Amino acid sequence: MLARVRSFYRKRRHFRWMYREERKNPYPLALRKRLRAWRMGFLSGSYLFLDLDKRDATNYINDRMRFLRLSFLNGPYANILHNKLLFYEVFGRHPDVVPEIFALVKHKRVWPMSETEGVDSFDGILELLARKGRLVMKGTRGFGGSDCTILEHRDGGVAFSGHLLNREDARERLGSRREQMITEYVQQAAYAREIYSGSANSIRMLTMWDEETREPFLARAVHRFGGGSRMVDNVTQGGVAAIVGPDDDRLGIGVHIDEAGHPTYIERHPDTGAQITGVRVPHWDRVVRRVLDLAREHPYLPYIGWDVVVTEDGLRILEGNSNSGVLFTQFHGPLLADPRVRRFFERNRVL
Amino acid sequence: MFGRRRELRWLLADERKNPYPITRTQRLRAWRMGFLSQSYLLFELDRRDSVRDYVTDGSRYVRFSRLNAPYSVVLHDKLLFDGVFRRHANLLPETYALLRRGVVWPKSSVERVDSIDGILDLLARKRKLVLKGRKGWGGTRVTVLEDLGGDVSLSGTRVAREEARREIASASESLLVECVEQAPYAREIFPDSANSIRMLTMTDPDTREPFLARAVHRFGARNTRRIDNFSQGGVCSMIDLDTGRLGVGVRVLPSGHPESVERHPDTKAPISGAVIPGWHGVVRQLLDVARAHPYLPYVGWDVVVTADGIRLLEGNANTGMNVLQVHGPLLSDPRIRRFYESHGGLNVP
Repeated sequence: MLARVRSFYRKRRHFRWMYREERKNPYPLALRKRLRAWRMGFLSGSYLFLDLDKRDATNYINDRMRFLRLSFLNGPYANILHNKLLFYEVFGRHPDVVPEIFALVKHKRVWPMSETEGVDSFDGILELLARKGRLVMKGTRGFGGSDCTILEHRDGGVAFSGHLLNREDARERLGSRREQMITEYVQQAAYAREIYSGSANSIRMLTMWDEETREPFLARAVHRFGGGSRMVDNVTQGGVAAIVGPDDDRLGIGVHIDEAGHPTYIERHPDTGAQITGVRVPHWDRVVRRVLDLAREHPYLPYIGWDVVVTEDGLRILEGNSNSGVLFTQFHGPLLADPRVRRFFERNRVL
Repeated sequence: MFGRRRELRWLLADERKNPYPITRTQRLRAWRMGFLSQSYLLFELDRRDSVRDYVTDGSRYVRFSRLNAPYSVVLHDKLLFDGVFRRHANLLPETYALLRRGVVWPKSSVERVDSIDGILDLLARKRKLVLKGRKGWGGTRVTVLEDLGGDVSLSGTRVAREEARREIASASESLLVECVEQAPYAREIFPDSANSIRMLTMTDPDTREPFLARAVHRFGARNTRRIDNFSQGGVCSMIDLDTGRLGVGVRVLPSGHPESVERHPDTKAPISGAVIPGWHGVVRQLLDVARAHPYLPYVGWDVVVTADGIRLLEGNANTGMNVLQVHGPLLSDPRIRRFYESHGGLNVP
């Protein structure tokens, strides 16, 4: 009993987090079904999105596991992934895959972080923006695109995620946020732009460690596309998720959440009408190899959800997530159906 | 007080560790002045007219922990330190492997080490390696492994290979690191430890440029078990920041008071007057590193000077004051005082 209380106390933040997520669910769900979802370990939203009314839930990673157990998989090193600046600092020595970070904005001051671009003032950021056209301002602690702003140079000012401000206000706005990084804007490859050009469409690549072979493996890769005129590729906010592979480099069927919170299966993007299913992801083998190389170099991070943007000539990793959401990675089928994934979670006492 | 309970516990624990004799009156006086008993004895505060230029232990333990927040973890965690600073070429000693729960994870592209036997084989080739605790500080969790042709020396204690295997396998999470080959000047003074310089850098709040606040060279001694630890019997000497010349050496007496020495007590090699080769380059290189990581405004670096540049052994987020202030108070330099004041780091009694 005491151990239970202690465990509950230790995980109080995670319980709070789970509770908050449950309250955020905007979709109607009958109380009976809601109770059923909770009994199965799912939040109401996940129950709807995964269509668990009609499906067997045994092989799914449920929300209880996700919120209360997955958070501990990377132990003390989760910090490297939680804090975006640390992520860039640790993985920044692979400049071919990690976007350049130009400056850190902290306590209303600009600290240069790049050797090639000595940006050390708000004017310096605006001048760099004028030269580069686009930059990204990213909170050091946000996740899921929640604190990410696209800066665009336009005649007469700066657009902050589409919202135009004059130069004076832009300077004010840059300094008004909590700790932010100014990073390179990643130009995605044409295939992704053609499907939806309004957001940087990334692939969530989930890597895990196989303790038997002592090698990392790719558990699942899901391509996300923005939608609903939003600039982030968030699936539950109007976007689309399509599985990549797993046997080849083609996109599978897309999943889109309708207004009632139910999944609809689509082959074309609902906003642009562009074909998704069957589209090939360029140099996919190289992308997988490179991501696994990075995972191999950091064996103390056995569970990472990488956000990867495929570019014309390679890939860029926007961030790594320590407690990767498993909801949209399971739209196309439960994760635990793969014996390697099940073994990983069993060994790490998630199951 | 509640928010700083960890720091206060740490302060109390260090006070209780004081091994030197001190009367109750002196102890109370030390506390009133904001110092631990050990610092009171070491800085000889009973003989000073004014202590206002000394950084107090109250400030150091309670306030300075926040100076690098939230990034001090980069310095506390040696694995993270390795991950972040590895991008500077030739700055860190090679890290061969990570030992975790008895499993050896290779970390180097130069030498692939993935088992305990692999470690011993590498040791046979390299002769000397260092096993560094992931979270230790002050050299307390550093073990120097030496190959003795069959047997192995663990920080100076000879053990059979089988026992060495067991000891290594049971070590808490550690990094297996290259043993740095120090420059001849340091080897001549004391050859049995990697003698490092504690270099304190701060970011000037006005110019936003890092500057070197103080540099103190530490040397091991016969009883410091292959480490250059000052509080365990080593010797330290302040470096003239303009010339790179070592000042008079200091060591701690059994009474806890400092003693000045011109020569190393074991090797008799002269310390005072020795010059660090390429000192200006050493300082420039370190400040370049500090400049590249502006989110760490206050770092006590452990630097070893080698024949071809510097090697960073580690960085300390809240550097100890004993080794720095035994040579004189820090706050007499207005730039240093200004740094601490601008971060709200002073004035705790």
